[in-house]
Formats: sequence, C-alpha cells, structure tokens
Amino acid sequence: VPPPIPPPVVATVVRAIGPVRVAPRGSLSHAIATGDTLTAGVVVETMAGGRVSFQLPGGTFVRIDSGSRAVVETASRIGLERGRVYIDRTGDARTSVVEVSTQWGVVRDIGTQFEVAAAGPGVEVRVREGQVQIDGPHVSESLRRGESLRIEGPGRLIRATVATHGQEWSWTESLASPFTIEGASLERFLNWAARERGLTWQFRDAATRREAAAVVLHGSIDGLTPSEALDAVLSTCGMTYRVLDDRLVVTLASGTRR
Amino acid sequence: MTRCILAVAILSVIGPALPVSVAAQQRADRFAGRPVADVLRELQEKGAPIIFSDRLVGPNLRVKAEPRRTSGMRELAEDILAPHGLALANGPRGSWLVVRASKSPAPEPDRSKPLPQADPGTPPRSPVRIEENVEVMDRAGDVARSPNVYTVAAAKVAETAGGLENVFQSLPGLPGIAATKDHDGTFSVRGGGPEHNSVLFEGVQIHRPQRIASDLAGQQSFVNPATVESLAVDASGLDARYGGRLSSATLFETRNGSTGRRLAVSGSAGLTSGDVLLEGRLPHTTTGSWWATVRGTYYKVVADRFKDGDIPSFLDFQFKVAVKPSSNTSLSLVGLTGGETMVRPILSPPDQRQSLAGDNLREFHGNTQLAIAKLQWTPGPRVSTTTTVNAYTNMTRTQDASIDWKTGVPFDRRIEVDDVGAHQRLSVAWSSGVVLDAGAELHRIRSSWAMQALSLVPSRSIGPDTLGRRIEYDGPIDARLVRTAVGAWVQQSLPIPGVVVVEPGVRVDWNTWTDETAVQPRLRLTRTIGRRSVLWGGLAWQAQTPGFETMQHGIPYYDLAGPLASDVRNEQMRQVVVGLDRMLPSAMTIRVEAYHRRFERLLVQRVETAFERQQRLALYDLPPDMPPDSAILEFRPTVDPESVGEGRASGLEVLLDRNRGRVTGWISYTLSKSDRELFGRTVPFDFERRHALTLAVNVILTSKVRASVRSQHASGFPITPLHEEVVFNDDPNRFPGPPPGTLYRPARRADGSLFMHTGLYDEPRISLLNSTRVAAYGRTDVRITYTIDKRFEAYGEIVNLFDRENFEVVLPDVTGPNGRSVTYRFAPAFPRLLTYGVRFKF
Repeated sequence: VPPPIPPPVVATVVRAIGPVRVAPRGSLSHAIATGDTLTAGVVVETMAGGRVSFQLPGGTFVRIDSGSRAVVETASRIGLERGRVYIDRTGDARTSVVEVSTQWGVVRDIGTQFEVAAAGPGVEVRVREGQVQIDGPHVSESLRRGESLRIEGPGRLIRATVATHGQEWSWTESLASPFTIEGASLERFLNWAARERGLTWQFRDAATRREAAAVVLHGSIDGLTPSEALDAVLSTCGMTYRVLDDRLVVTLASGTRR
Repeated sequence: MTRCILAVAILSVIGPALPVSVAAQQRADRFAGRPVADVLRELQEKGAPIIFSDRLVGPNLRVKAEPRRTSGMRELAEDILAPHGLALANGPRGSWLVVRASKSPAPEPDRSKPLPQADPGTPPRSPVRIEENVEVMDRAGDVARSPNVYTVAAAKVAETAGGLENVFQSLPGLPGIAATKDHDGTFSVRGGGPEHNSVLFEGVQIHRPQRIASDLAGQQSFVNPATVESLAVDASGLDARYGGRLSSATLFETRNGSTGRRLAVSGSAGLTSGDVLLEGRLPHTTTGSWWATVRGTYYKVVADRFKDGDIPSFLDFQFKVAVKPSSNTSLSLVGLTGGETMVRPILSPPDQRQSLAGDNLREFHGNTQLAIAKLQWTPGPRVSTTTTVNAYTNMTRTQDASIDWKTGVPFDRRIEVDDVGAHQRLSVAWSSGVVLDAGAELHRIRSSWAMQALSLVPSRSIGPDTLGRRIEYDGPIDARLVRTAVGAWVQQSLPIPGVVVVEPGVRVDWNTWTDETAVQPRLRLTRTIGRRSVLWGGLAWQAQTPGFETMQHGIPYYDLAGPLASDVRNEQMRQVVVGLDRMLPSAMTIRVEAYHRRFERLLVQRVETAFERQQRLALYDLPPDMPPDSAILEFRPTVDPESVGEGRASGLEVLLDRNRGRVTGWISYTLSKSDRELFGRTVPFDFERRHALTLAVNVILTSKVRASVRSQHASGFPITPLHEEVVFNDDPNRFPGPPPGTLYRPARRADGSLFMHTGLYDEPRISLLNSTRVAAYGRTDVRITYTIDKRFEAYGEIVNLFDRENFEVVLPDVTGPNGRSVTYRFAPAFPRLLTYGVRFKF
C-alpha cells in the first residue's frame, strides 16, 4: 500500500500572536508559531487575544483576527467560518488571485487589500484598496476602495462607504507584513507604512520633499506596528506627520528646517 | 647605560599601569573622529535597539570627543550624540530613537548632502504630538439594515446643518418623517402620530427620548451623538423583531469606547451647553473598552438676558463598558442618568400676581435613569444569541402658576413611567441563505398620570387634552396602570434561487391590561435585479397597546384608568409597501418607496351621549337667540377612550442620496395623504403633509473648512379654523362656578345682543375640524466647520436663516365676512438662531 500523499504546503506563518491553533486535515489541533508552515485543508482558529498572519505563494498576506475560524483550503482560497480575515495581496494579479469563501458567496480580489468579517448569519466585506468581486447564489456585487457590503440574508444587501483607515482597521496593524528599514529609503518606508494604514501619503511642501529625498534609515522596526514605526522613524528624521482625510502628510518638525 | 637602567626602572614602575593606558588609547582610537553612524551601527549589532536616519546622523558626522561614560551602550551613545545636538529618545516598545535634543543648538549640518533651499512660504509649525485623528465611522452595527430602512451615518448627525447635536433633529427631512415642532425633534411618520413611534436604544424601548427645549437651549436628546454608532429609521414594519408601536421604529446602537488608547478626551462647548467624553481601553484587557460622558447646560450666568422666556437646563451622565469574556461572547453595560428643568420666571412685581401661584409662570422638571446589560454569544458559525435586560424610569412634572377660573387651582401634572424588561434573540443560519431570526421579550410597565387644572396656553385640541384643557374635573386625576407584556417573534428567510427571497414572519404580543393576543403577520419579498438594484415589497400587521407612556406624546387625554378603560383594545395598523433602490454613477443612490396604511381601532375620545350633553348644557342659561351651531351645543368629546378610530395613509417617497466624495447629501421628496375617521366625519390627519421637499448638502471646501446646508420645505399641517362663540364665563361665574341655584349666563353687549368672541381658548367646532391649513413650512439652516488643528475645530450655525415664521398661522375666523383672525403659533418654532461652539479631541 503506498503511503498517503501528504497535503501540499500552501502557506508560511509570518507572525502569530497569542493563542492560535491549527488543525491539519485529519489531525488534532496544536499551537503554531512564526515560521511554521500550513498545509492545504488546515483549520486555523484564533482564540481571544490571538491573531495570526501567513503568506501564500505569490506574495499574498492573510491576516486573521481574534475569535476567528478559517480553513486554508488551497494556496489561493480561504474559507471563513467566523471572525475576520484581511487579505493584502502585493503580488501579480495574474498569478496570485485569492478568494475568501463565506456562507453567502465567494469574495475574489482584483488587486487589493480587503477584509471579510463573518458574525452570526451576516457577512461584511470592506475594501481598502483596489477592487473585489463577490459572487454567490444570491449576490453578485463588485466593490471598490472605500466601499462595503453587508450581507444579512438573501437579497438583504447593504452597501455603504467606509473609511479606509482608522480604528476599524487597527487590528490588521499588529499583523503587518514585515519591513526592513536598514538601508531603506524614507520614501520606501512611507510607501509601506501608509499602505498598511490604508492611507496615501505626500510631503507637505517642497522643502520636506528635498530633505527627504536621500534619507536612508538604519535600525530595525521588528515588533512595531506601522503606526508605531511611523512615529519612531519620522522622529529620527526630524519630521512629523498628520492624517488629513485619507492622506498622510509628512512635514519637517519645528526647528529642523535649515 | 645609566639612562637605560633609568628607563627600565621607570618602565618597571609604570609597567602594571600600561595595559590600562593602552586600553584607553584603544578606546580613543575606536570612537574619536569616527563616523557617528558607524558607532551607532556597532551598538546595533551588539543589541542596542537604536533607530536613526542619515538626515540627522549623516555619514560625515564624526565623534567629537571621547565619551565620558562607557559602562553602558545607551550612555555611550548619548555621550557621542550630545555634542551634535542629538539625543536618544524612548521610542515604542523599548526602541531608542536618535532625535534632536530639546533646547540644544541646531545640529551640525551634514556637509555630505546638498543644503536644501528654505521654503519661505511655509511658516514654522508648532510642535505637535504625532497622533492620528480617529474619526467615528459608520459601520454596520446591530441595527437592522434591510433595504426598507433609512440609515443616518452617525458622523452626519453633527455635520448636518440644523442637526443641533441632536440625533432626532437629523431625521426630519428624510422621506416620510415630518417634524411636529422645531425644538425637541419629535416627529410624525407616514400618518402616525408621535405617540405611535418607537425609539429603541440598544434594542430597549425608551418611552421619552426627546428633551424639553426652547430657543435658548435644551434641543439635545437623551443621547450624546458622539456615542452613537448607528442610527436608522424603519417605517415599514416588515421586520417581525420590532413591535409595540404602530408607525415606526427609530433604532440606536452605541459604539464601544476606543481600545487604541488608555484615555482619550473629546467634547464640545457651545453657546449654552457642552459635553465631555472620556474613553479608552479597559485596564488589564486588550479588547475591553469604556466611555463616559457628561453633558449639560452652563448658560445660567448669562441667562438674565433671556429671562423673559423659557430657560431650560439639563445635566446628563452616561457610560458604557464593553468586554469580551471569551472569543465568542461580548458583554456590554450601558447606564444613563439625567435631569432637566425648564423655568419661565414671572417678571411682574409681587403685588400684580393675584392670579398666579408661585414665582415661576411655568416650570418643568424631568429625570431619566436607564440601565442596560447585553450579552452576545456566538456559540457556532451559524448561531448567535443576544440577551438583554434593562430597567428604565422617567418622571416629568409640569406646573403652570396661572390659576384657572374654573378649577381655582394652578396646573400641575406628573407623569411617571417605569419599564423593566428582558429580551432574548436568536439567529440561526441553517444553510446558505436560510436564516431564522426569533426572539422573545418580557416587560413590566408601570405608568401613572397625576394632574389637576389646566395649562393656560392655547391648544389645537378638539377635546380634553394632555394639558388638562377641556377636562371636566371632579377632583385631581391620580391614575395608575400596571401591565405585564409578553412578545415573541419569528421570521425566516427562504430564498427561491434566482427569483426572490421570501421572509415570512409573525409577531405575537399579549399583555395583562387588555388581555388581548395580537397576532401580527409580517412578510417581506426581496429581489436583487442585476448588480445595482434591489426591489422589495411587503405586508405588515402591527399593534400597539395604549398607555400613559405613549399618551404623553399625543394631544388627546384619555382616562385609561376609568370605568370604560376595560373596553380599550390594541390599536392596529396594516401596511403594504413596495420599494426600489438603485445605485447610480458618481456614488449616488436613488430610492423610491410607496406605501399604503390602514389604521383600525385607534384610540379616540368617546362623544358624549344625549343624556350627558343635556346634563352639561343644564349648567348653562342658554339664550333663545344662541346660534344653533355653537360649539357647546355640539356633542363634545369626553375623556373616555374608545377603540373605534380609523384612518388611512398613502404616500410616495423618493430619496436621491450621495454619501461619498467632497460633496455629499441628499434630496428627498414625499407625496402623502392621510386622514382619520373622527366624530362621524373624515378629516385630514393632524400632521398630514401633502408635499415635503428637503435638500441637504455637505461640502468639504478645503482641508480645513466644511460647509453644510439643509433646506426643508413642506405643506402646512391641517388645523381647525376659529369661529366666534357666545361668551359665558363672565365674572360672576368664576371659581367655584355659578352660585348655587344659578347658571352660566351669557354675556351681552350694551345693545342687548349676545357678546360673541373669537378666541383660541374656546372650544373649536367639531364641524370645522382640520378644515384649513397652516402656512407652508420652510426652513434653511447653514453650518460652517473650521478645523483649527487636529485637536480643535470650531463651528457656527444659523438655524432658520431666512427667519421664516414656522408653525405660526394667521388662524382665520370663518364666522362671516367680518370675522377677524388670530395669529397663533401652535407649536414651538425656531426663530433665526445663531449658535456656535468648539469641538475638541485629545
């Protein structure tokens, strides 16, 4: 009798916070840690205070909030049973399409950051960047940046606009994709931090742009959330920032103009 | 040789010290003159959590002098940085940040980089903490958001002109919602009266949500809009979950406190009132949160300017604590306590107050306490439950110092309502699209109504009313009602793939007072058309049990504890609605909804019998030349309740909405018709508005300036015109009434003709009930908000910009061609009103 073929590895845990358990297909559940791999069909369950992010092939990061239960069905499909999952796809849209299946339909990304939340009978999809397509037996909707759709039942669809940043997205920050600042330019760091917070960014004026043009960063922000990293890094550059609507405006701090 | 010996001797003496000196030299070699960045990187490699950039630490920045301290990496780094005006600051999670030292010379420019040009157009900025403005977002809460529900974004409550920080003031202008007065935000929905509206706060019925108010202050409701997460109005009744009222359900959910910070402070300070909101993460938790808010008036120091008018004041305290005991449960506690007063002082000197009792012409006192505990449990992915227990109490007392000529005592009314209840809700998603929503609730409601005399202000009531007018007292009223009410509902969604979603449901209510089981079927059909349209329709049967808690919002007074109260039945309404919601380009949505309602068994005042009429008229010396159609000769309404009223309402509502972009807002139009069968005739409903048009626009003008305009225009309400009547209350007939053996005698002129009078205090004729209309309503409000910085913003608002006299009518006397008219304001209305204030957030 040939040995059973093990399920393929489909994801690598990037960060695990608090109690997170996984149950590979046909096995008992166990805790996981950063660097572990996940096989197809694994059930991921986060307890209170537990969160996890993992990376799929092609550069897509999946973040799962506390109190969630999801199945990593394949390298491109997550089944959400309850809780919240956040998809951040940075790879090529032609090779790394990701789907989140829910009881009301499948949420398919078209180059984006988005969140799917399932609580009780309802499912809510919020798009932070790009576009998603939701298809199901009773729903066929397309959402763009800043839009949400709540599905409370067949035909009971509530579209609304949502902010792309702020408190409601804050849980995703603790699972932000890693970024190495050593040797990185300030602009590259701002691209990362602003995207993690759902913001666009700009320099306030030409003087700030000139000052920032060649700034190189040193050190490490491992363990910091994007907001914390933003606070820390900009202060080492003699700069500060404000959030105006959905824009992060970077400016020279008082007394650092030359 | 001697020199060599001497040198060896010296070396032998200093030999033990040599390694130290060499080590010191080596250290000097390691730091002095080296690039600071290199030293910092070495320290990083040894584990120092330093973060720096080459803007402040450029490659040419050199260590100026040997560090004084070498015992620790931090001290060493600080010593190296200090000569350059740099320092180590504590960063997040133990990191060390290389920053400019405060009160230090400017850092030495890094010559390796070209000097940037100064930007003369940019003024120096004041130092501010790096902190994000966290805006309250409109997100889906527990409020039912069916397509038939109108939702209002919480942030729009404060932003919309004329909102006055009152969640209820933001609702008029939505289709089908007509404000019955300006000040306190009470409204009528689709042919139902204010007493037919339900207000649910966290799912709990609030029996008196509005606050008494005047032009001066008090326009706020019981809830601080800064704590509201979602606000919606459901006038369709298609959800079986909502019951107990005929006309509409206004649904509030409060938000949880911010968990991002330990303590955040926000609030506002207006012309006459202000509020402070504290919130944060609950200690020793990661997801627990709390908020507490205090609101109140503080204008009494300047109230002398206004003391010829009503002076309201209030003070509220509210709080919410939310925790997640486990991954699938959440528990919240909400509490509220508040008091309010309204006083209108008497300005006359004491010797001119013979007919007045007390120092204040009118006084109002009210207080409310509310406690809600809610436990939500999601045991599985397809099941969720919510358990709510609540206790609510409200008391209001209204006093009028004027002494009525008939009763001889001043007006005094005290209404109390206590409601203790428990609710249980269960939602089960059997499979994709098949969802069961079921629940039950139990209430113990105690209400009381104590009243004597009448408030001497004009009234539009046709019969005895809630301010004591037209009541034939045989002593003070002291009535109490206690009832236990039980309700249960179930509604199931059944999708027929590709065709329609059918949601049949039923709600059953029973109470110990009417001892009547009200079975209320509900049905909603929903069809999604393409990707942009939703079509829905439905039927709803609704029932409402009368009580003092609802009677206080209406005009007529009913003796609900009297001998005929046992015949009172539940009021009923049947409704059919159909609507279409379609998304348009440019983030716009259009919604069209049509409805027809039929009211049955409405509470009405029983008309007196022929014997009762004869007894009443027996007190009068009716002259032979008295006009036969005089009001007192009609069969007049009594305080006895009868469940025989009927009514109808039909309407078409259109809402064009844009909720995204720099310009947001809505345009709504309502065409409606509603009437009542009253006293044997069909008359327009008191708050019928044939046409209503509202435009509300919010514009982001610049990054600092936002503007809002709301303009409401509507047909006038029906009202009863005046007719001259014979005057009977001449001086000899004053309290305690005609002397024994005598009658109310008619007054006559010197020429012997009857003295006829057209007065607002006289009984209106039933034959003229609601046969004319007041002038059209029109009000335009504007608001400007200026963002000072991330912590402060200032706002200014002009309510009723064009100073239109709303709710004021030149009431015609239809007696004849020579009849006069009386100008009458039948409901409080805003004059042109300027208000301004500051909001803050820390």
